[in-house]
Amino acid sequence: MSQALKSIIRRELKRIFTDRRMVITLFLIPALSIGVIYSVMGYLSMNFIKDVEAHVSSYVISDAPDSFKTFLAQNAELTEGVEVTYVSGETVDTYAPLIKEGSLDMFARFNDDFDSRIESVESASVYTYYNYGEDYSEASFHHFVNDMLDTYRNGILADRFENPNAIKVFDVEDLSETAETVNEDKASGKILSTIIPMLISIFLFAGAMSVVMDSIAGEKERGTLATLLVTPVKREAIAIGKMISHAIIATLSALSSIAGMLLTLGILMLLMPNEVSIGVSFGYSALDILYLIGLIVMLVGIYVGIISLLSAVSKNVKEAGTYMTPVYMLIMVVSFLNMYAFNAEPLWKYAIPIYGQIVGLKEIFMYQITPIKFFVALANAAVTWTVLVLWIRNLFNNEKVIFTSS
Amino acid sequence: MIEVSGLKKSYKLSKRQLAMIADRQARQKVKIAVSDLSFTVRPGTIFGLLGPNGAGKTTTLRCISTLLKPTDGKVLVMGIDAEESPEKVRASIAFLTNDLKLDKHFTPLDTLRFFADLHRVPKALAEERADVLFEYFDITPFKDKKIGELSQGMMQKVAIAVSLIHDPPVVIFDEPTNGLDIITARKVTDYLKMLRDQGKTIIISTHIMTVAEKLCDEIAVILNGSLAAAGTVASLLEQTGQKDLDDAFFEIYRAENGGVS
Ligand SMILES: Nc1ncnc2c1ncn2[C@@H]1O[C@H](COP(=O)(O)OP(=O)(O)OP(=O)(O)O)[C@@H](O)[C@H]1O
Ligand SMILES: [Mg+2]
Repeated sequence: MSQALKSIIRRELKRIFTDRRMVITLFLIPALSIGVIYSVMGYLSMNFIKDVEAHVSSYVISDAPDSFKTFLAQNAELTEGVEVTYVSGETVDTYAPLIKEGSLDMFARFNDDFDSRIESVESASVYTYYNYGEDYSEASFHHFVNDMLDTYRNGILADRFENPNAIKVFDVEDLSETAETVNEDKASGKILSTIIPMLISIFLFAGAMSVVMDSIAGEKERGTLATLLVTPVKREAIAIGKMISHAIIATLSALSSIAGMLLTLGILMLLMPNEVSIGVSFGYSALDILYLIGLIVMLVGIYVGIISLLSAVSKNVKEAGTYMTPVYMLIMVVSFLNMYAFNAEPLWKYAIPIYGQIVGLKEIFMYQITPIKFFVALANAAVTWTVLVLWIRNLFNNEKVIFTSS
Repeated sequence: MIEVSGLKKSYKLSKRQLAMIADRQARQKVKIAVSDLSFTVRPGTIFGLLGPNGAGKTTTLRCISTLLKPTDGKVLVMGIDAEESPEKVRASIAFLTNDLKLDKHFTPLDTLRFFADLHRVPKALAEERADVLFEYFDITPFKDKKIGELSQGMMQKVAIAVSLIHDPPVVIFDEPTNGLDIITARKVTDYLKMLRDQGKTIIISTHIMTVAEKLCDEIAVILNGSLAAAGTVASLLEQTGQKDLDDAFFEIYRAENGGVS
């Protein structure tokens, strides 16, 4: 590495790390704001879970037959957290307003002479009323129909046919656990592959944006870039030096965001009620980690290049900011594009700058990346970097870019 | 040695710049800032470009220092073609102009070391030169303060020191004493004289007659981007038949503008 390149990188890094404002915007604010967002989200969902658990549902059942009443009394587990009130001869009219306002979760009415109809194998009905705009009400309805009535019906059927197998027809039993057909790693990977590549991509771009805009558009605005350009240092050395240091900073900034996120998630997991846990297990190899680092470096290099380019043609930080917004949106869209695709991706996707790297990140987590795919991504990154560096060098040689008077 | 021959520089005006010209008739797509300018600056002399605002002084100096590409003509610095090998030219010049700024976040010492690195000055030599320059321009007590905390004049002196850290054979200063008090201005002009006596090639621009008169060995009067007169102060006075440079300048200006004063 040339002496000049080293000096430029050292100076850029020093510039950022000794500037309190930059340290705050690049490392502290992202980590903190992500921490706050996740904490609030976690707190709300924790409350929701506790709330649902603590909620006692209330059902009103009209004209329930004796057989149903005894059935419920015998199956206490079905009435856990449920308060059943039996009434007779009433219709929904009295209860509809209560269901609507939420103080009652469900109303059901059995056919007249339900038991005798069943006895004589005549048709019989249970009429249900609930509010499907209300979570508790909807949950109550499903519990009543799928758990209570279903079991109750099976009991009646078993009575009609002496042999219980006659009504069951056959059983379905899931033995996956015993036969080890599940790739737990891949199942966990699926969770990561949906969000992590997108987060990495967006955090990297956000980090790169603040540092590059200040260093290129800002230096132009402050007149310090021209001072650098009257030295005998080659323009490409200036471009590369700035890009390397900005890539380092952007990566660190993204890491601090991710660290903030993981830390908050970890704390939330500890606070969560026991039943709520995410079963995650990983089997990533050292090679996978290398792929991960490689793809992050490729991506951050391209992002820094693009932002440098846009900053170089802008007169000041403000103008650069206006160019940045649509690009940021585009990056977000590209990052979201592949969130829910789980099949192995074709090789040609890896040849597309940015998209290829994001696909690669996703496939690392899905255990689908191959050395060939990685090298195609690397080749596309190398070409993109070269184009960007040469382009920026030409801009630094362009007098309109050096002096943007009025 | 600086050799400028047939230098022409025109700016293509952007739409925004065009729109700012009030007189619609006068709107032209290109602004000719310098046309057919030729002169030579020999080592051991201070050459002054003298001209009113907008004459084309800064444009000329930027062309010499490779920041602008001439539209036409040739610039040789120490025999090197500025367009062909801009990096080599930049290695042999000190360029000072008030729109080249120093990063306010760093200290003068940091800044000097950084630019010494970029010019590949060996570390020990750079420290030695930094000490000498700081001492001469009274920067020493401020060398570890942030440049942003310094006064305007002190910043200007730091900029001069930075531009000279690689001890180049050619010095190009655009309005070097602008904004400086007379004591500091005198320090700067004295330093330039010392550099001249060391045999360096020096070119400055100014619109201040006394600076030109006291400092420059040779003067080129530039009006509207072209050379109106050139020579030593004595020869300019002789050409115009005046007693001081002020009057001589007006005489040249009058002749150039069709004899009306
Ligand atoms: N980037 C530019 N685009 C268009 N016109 C320009 C540009 N830079 C300078 N000019 C014009 O070129 C002419 C010469 O400008 P220049 O800055 O060289 O003059 P100067 O002699 O240095 O003046 P001053 O004493 O005010 O510094 C002026 O008319 C100026 O308006
Ligand atoms: Mg000027």
